[in-house]
This record gives sequence, C-alpha cells and structure tokens, in this order.
Amino acid sequence: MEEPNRDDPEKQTRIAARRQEFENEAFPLMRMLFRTALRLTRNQHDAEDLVQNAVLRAYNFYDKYQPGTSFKAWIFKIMTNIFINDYHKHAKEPPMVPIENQEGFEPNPEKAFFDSVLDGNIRKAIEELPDSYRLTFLLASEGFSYKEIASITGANLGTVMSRLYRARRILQAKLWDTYQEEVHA
Amino acid sequence: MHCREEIETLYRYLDHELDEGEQTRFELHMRACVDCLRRFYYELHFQTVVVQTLHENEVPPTLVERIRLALHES
Ligand SMILES: [Zn+2]
Repeated sequence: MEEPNRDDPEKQTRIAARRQEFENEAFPLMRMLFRTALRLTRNQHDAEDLVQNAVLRAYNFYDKYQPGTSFKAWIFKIMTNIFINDYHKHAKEPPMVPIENQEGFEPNPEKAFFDSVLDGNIRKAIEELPDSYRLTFLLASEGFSYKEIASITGANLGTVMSRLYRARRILQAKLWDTYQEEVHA
Repeated sequence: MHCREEIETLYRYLDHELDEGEQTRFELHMRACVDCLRRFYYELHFQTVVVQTLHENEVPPTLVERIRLALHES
C-alpha cells in the first residue's frame, strides 16, 4: 500500500483548486442554509451543527455532485437528509392541531392583518408546524420549485403541493387567531 | 370565497408553477373574478411578510470560520 504523498505539489494544488471550487459554490449559500436550519431545528446550537455537518458531508461527496445541476438543491438535499435522520427522530413534535379545525378558516382579504402580526409570532407559528410541513414551507420560501422540493424531500409533487397548502392555511389561521387575541386584549 | 376550484391554480400562480397558457388564463380569470384577485393579493402579502421575517437571520461569522477551518483540515 502506498501512502498518499502529502508532499506531492501537483496533488496539493489539485486539492486546493477543488476545495476553492467547492467554497465558491457553498459559501454564498451559508446564510440560506443557516436560516433554514434555524427554523428546522428551532435552536441556534442544533442549527449550527446541522449546517456544519451538511457542508462537510457535501464536501466529502463533492465528486458525486453532477455539474450543471443545481448545487443549491443538492446541498439542501444533503442537509434535509441529515435533519430527517439525526434530528427529526429525536425531536419532540409539537402537538398537532387537527387539520379539520384549520380548514374551516377562511382568509379575510379585507384586512391586511399580517402587517400588525409581530415577527416573533410568525417565527413561532412556523416552528410549531409539523416537521414535514415546515420543511416544505421553508424550502418554498427559499425559492425552490415544487419539483426541486419533491426531489429534496423525497415526496411526490402532489404531496409537496398539499403540504405547502396546508402549511399556509395553518399559519394563516394561527396568525389570525393571534391577531384577534391582541386586538381584543 | 366563491371560487374554490381555482385555489390550487392560484397557489401555483403565486409559486410561478403555471405554464404560459395556464398563466394567461388565470390572469384573465382574475380580471373577471374579484374573489380570486383579492385572494391573490392576500396570499402575496402573506408570502412577502413571511419571507421577510424568515430572511432576517444572518449566519454567525464564527460558524462560517469554523467550517472554513474544518474544510482546510480535511
Ligand atoms: Zn375566481
């Protein structure tokens, strides 16, 4: 067995160039990865771990990335898989509000009430979504197409659309309730 | 909301998932249907507020530095 020659300058240059290439792709996405991780894990510490694990794993598997396809979708898929495998199963799901109750809610377009809903309430409402809805909703908020979300989460298109629809309805109903409570407090 | 059958189209319109023909058809529909037009502005407004809130967070510089170091060590 030949030991890899660390002093081989040509090899070192190749590795450095490859790493630079990876960094050019990955680092501009760091903020996007982090804010998604933050809402997925619901805390700063786990979010930092999740992003670090995802980026390092992506680097280790960088030769599996197909040039010409979306690097952003690829690295989000890696992060999603780590989240589902390592965090999701340990995480306590918040009590799920029955969908039927939410479906009765009719949006009231007359009132632009979202303006008066505090950011903290929006973040809280998002964090209370069930994992699969939250993940789908966060990916859509990062501009991924339905098809990309399907590929990232391993769900079919119909499931993606229904999760996104329900996530929005649940959030709107919840924020509407919060608004009503504050107005009538 | 009297126009339930259009709700899925409305979401796909909002998410830029309609093809050109569907998009034109839906825009024509919204000219005639005040329910869908209002609902569209409501959903758009909701989406804008949520995205603004979600995008407020900066990535901690210490995390970026830690990752950079780890990459250079691997
Ligand atoms: Zn309509």
